[in-house]
Amino acid sequence: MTTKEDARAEISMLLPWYAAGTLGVAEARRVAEAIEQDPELAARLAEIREEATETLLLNESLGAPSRRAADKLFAAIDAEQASNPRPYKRKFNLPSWLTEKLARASPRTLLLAASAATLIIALQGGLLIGSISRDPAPGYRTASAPDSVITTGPQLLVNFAPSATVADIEAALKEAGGVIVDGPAAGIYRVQIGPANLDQAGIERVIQMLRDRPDIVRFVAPAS
Amino acid sequence: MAAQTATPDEVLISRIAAGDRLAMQVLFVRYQVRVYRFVLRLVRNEATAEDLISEVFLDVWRQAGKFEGRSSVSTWLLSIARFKALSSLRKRAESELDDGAAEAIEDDADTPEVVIQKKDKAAALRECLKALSAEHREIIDLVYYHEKSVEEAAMIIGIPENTVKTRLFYARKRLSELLRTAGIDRGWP
Repeated sequence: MTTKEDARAEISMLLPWYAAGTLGVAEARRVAEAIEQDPELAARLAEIREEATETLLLNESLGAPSRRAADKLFAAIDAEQASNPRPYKRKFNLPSWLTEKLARASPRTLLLAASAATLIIALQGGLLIGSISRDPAPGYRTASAPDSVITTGPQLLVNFAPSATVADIEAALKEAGGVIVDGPAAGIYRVQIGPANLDQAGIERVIQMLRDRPDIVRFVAPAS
Repeated sequence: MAAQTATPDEVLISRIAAGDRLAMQVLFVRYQVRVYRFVLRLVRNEATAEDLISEVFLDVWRQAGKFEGRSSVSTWLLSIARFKALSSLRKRAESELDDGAAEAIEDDADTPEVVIQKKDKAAALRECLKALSAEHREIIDLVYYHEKSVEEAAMIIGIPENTVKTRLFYARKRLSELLRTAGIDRGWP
């Protein structure tokens, strides 16, 4: 068994992934418990969140590729197609078909489809499963803009915590008077806050309001 | 607000394998910015980065039938992008620069002294992030920006998972050293 210092060093190494929400459930719980009992780990986590925020902003500042990249790619694809045609003919593929249907299904349909898929797997393996879980796995759901999109006003770049539910995000945005107008791009959403003439102090207030919800908002910054 | 109902990446890949150009367009639109930024941070040249992302997605068009789903599509894309970027850097070093010059292009950030004058911790942190070596920038970006797990980062870089953890540890340690030079002592390492 490791010593206390070794255990702390091991947890410390995992903090960046804990901050990013990319640890497994058991490991994330272990790290969370250690942070609760160790103020130094909590301080390091705060530093890591700052690093992550600045890394996100730095990458956001890099912009996007010009149209040239797409033109070059699709010209190359067209040239290949012309010399060696690969006519699109959709073949039936069970895993892809299931994946696509599951992605488009309503929660109720999803539940039934998940059960059916589980049954197929069980039959393929020649196994008889007495009982199967009917609960769809909890997970992060991507938000999209509601119907009433504000067309003018200051915008923020927001990254939501992976553990935040759609309801959490909806409530936080409602409180802040914001709507998602774009994203996600690398996990970052563009959130518009209104009204259009909102002054700097008002923007700062909204940012602080969102920062006060670290369980929902992982980082927030004004969009340039 | 509604749950995302976009076509899953894996479905797009299977359609691309069958020659569906529209699926290719959807995948390109979905990932071009992320792949571009990842490559740009490595090669530090916008025109080269744009050329490389065209090559990355052309590889996807050609190799989609071989995608086995052992990793996520985004991890696969970043793996191809990394390979292309490093090959490009190697070619550039061979044709134009000696090793010393190649090292010199690592850092186009302000010197620590300039950073000191900025006084702003966030700005200083960004400058120090820019000043990291390519290896350290890469691991920081993969974990913080591309939100890759230990396993996924290991797959993209082609190193063991423990090395991923230690590499990020040393990248952060270097970041703290640069910050200290810039007058910001985080008390670690």
